[in-house]
Amino acid sequence: MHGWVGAPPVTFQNMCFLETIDVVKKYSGHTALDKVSIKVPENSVFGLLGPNGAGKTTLIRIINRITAPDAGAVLFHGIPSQPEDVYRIGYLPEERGLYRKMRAGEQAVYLARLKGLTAKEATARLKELFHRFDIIAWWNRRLEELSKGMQQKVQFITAIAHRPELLIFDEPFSGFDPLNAELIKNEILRLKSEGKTIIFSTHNMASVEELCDEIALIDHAKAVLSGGVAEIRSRFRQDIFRLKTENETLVSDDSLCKIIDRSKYCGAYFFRVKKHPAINNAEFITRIVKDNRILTFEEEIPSMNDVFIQTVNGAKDDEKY
Amino acid sequence: MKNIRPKMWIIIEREYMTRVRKKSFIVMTILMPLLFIGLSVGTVFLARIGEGKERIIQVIDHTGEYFAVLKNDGQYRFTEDAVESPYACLVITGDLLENPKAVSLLSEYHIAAEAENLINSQLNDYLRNKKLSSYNIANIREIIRDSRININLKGEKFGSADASSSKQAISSTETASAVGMIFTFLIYLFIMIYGNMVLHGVMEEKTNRIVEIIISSVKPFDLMIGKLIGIGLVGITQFGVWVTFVALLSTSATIPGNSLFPAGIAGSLADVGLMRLCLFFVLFFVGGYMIYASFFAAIGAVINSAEDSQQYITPITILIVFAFFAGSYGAQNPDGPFAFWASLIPFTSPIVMMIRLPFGVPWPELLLSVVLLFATVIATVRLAAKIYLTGVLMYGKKPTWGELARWLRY
Repeated sequence: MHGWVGAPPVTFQNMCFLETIDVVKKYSGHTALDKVSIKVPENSVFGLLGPNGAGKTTLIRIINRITAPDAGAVLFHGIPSQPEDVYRIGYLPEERGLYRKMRAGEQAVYLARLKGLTAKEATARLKELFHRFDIIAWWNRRLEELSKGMQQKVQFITAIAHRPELLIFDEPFSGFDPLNAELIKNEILRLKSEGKTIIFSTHNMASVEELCDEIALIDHAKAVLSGGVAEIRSRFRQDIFRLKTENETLVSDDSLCKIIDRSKYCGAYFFRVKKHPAINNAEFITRIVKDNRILTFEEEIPSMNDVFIQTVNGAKDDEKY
Repeated sequence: MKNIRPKMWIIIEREYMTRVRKKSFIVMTILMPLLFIGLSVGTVFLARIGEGKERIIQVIDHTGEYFAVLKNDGQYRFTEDAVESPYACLVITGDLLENPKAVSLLSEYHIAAEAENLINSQLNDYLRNKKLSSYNIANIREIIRDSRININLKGEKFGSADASSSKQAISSTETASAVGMIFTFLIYLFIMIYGNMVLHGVMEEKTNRIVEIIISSVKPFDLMIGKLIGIGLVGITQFGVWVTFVALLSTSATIPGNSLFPAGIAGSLADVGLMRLCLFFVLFFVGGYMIYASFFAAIGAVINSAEDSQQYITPITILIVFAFFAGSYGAQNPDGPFAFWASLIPFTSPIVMMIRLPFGVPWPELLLSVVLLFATVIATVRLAAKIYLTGVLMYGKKPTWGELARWLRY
């Protein structure tokens, strides 16, 4: 219906599993997505970040073919998305929910059959998964009898049962206790090791650093930042260094660096300094080592949390002025 | 595309199986016929309560002529003695042949019609005989009895009789309208019950958010249609069970000693063409159900909670209830213009046609009604699907009527 208009772009032989090109989605009165383009490399964990209401869920729904974009294209391996592509996707929505009165196993089999498995295949695979997630004893119980954590496990299992190539997890850790969150994290890594591609949206920046290879940050309906996690974090470096010295004072001047913070701990002195932007790292090290007895020297790489806050706040400031 | 249609069957299967296996369905299906029988037996029983108690009517007869005429029956006893608290007081003040108004019945209670009838008929008989005797004509009673010719009028339907068969299909008006009313009520009940089931099914999926997972694998249209068909089949199953139940009972009625279904009723049910009626019931139920259930599906997709539903449901409910009353009204004159038009208009036709069918409806009319009905089914399902599509993923505020109209144009 909203197929690609004109010739598809010649994608260079990258390992792009999924690509969205200038996807636009407008609802009456507001734009949910404004020319959003993302590239998800094959066999990677891709983080979809952004504040609430930025348009992440809309993008996920478009990839899932739940809604159609008003303009733009979604490509799987460079080919515009087809109706059959839904069988290649496993989806865990942010708002969880299953039939409360239906039995856990029966329900999982039903959802797996809708994703193209036969009843027999589905039952065999799901029993195995129920075993692995330690909820096989609940196979014949109504969902409402299960604890919330167990319900979440059932839901997670239904997303992966048909062994899709692409998994989309919208806030996969919400509702899990730390133990189960760890379980899910390991599952995600296991899926990656099996060659799957995973897109996950989260507000938990620590898990982004831990799991994601690449990210895209969506804010106010636009993709404002994308790339590899390590690359983005170093892109946001503030030239701040941590030094551990033997002396109480740090010999330097403002043309080299400014001291932001100092502290003493176990007989050693710690300084946080901001390097002068005109000086490169190598020069900074040689000069600082010459005048001080430096025990350790470390550049502060901003966390994804800092990156997130800076990017989103920066956009807000731009809006103000 | 080859992988897509079978998905609808999986949905139909789930919608059907989860409901048919429910305890409440099984209990309802078994209990309803029993309840129905219980109610009819109970009503007869209740009507007889109190009949055992004797009522005393005190007669104050100034002429002294009429008291002897009044005969006690099982329930009413006449007496000239003063009674503490009589049921009623019959006062006769003069010769009734000269002045028929010289009699009155007084009571503290609302006097039962049967008491009046009893007195009237006894006094009338006596007075008639007295008057006849006063003419002094020999054998007058025999002459009158001779001249009394009884015409027993029986309604017979043109065309319903099969010329080759000697047994004419006699459509007794009373049986026809009784059967018609039962079917009218039944189809009304079924459309309401199963329409509401669709409403709640759609609402459950939406508030549960499971709809998001399902329509990431199935087209929303397939989900909606699958649900409509699945639940409709549950209704047909229930009806089927009841028909089988009645059929078994009425065939066993031919066995002597079965008091539940007198053979006469089984016979007149056959006259009405019960099996034909049941087939049309299913046909019209499917049509009417699809129209109303698709409305309900659209409503379920639009609202976010049961509390919101009233605003949208009320107009639909009014329409169904109106159809039901149109059906009841149509029972008075099943071939009249009102019943005729109401049985053609698709929103009322499934219900009103039920009252007309036992009386026989000409084939062209029936065909036209069915065609109109199913054309409307296609149209309403399409409209409902549009609203459903947009509504089912929309959370937050409920849409205004204007917004709904806009969704229809997407």
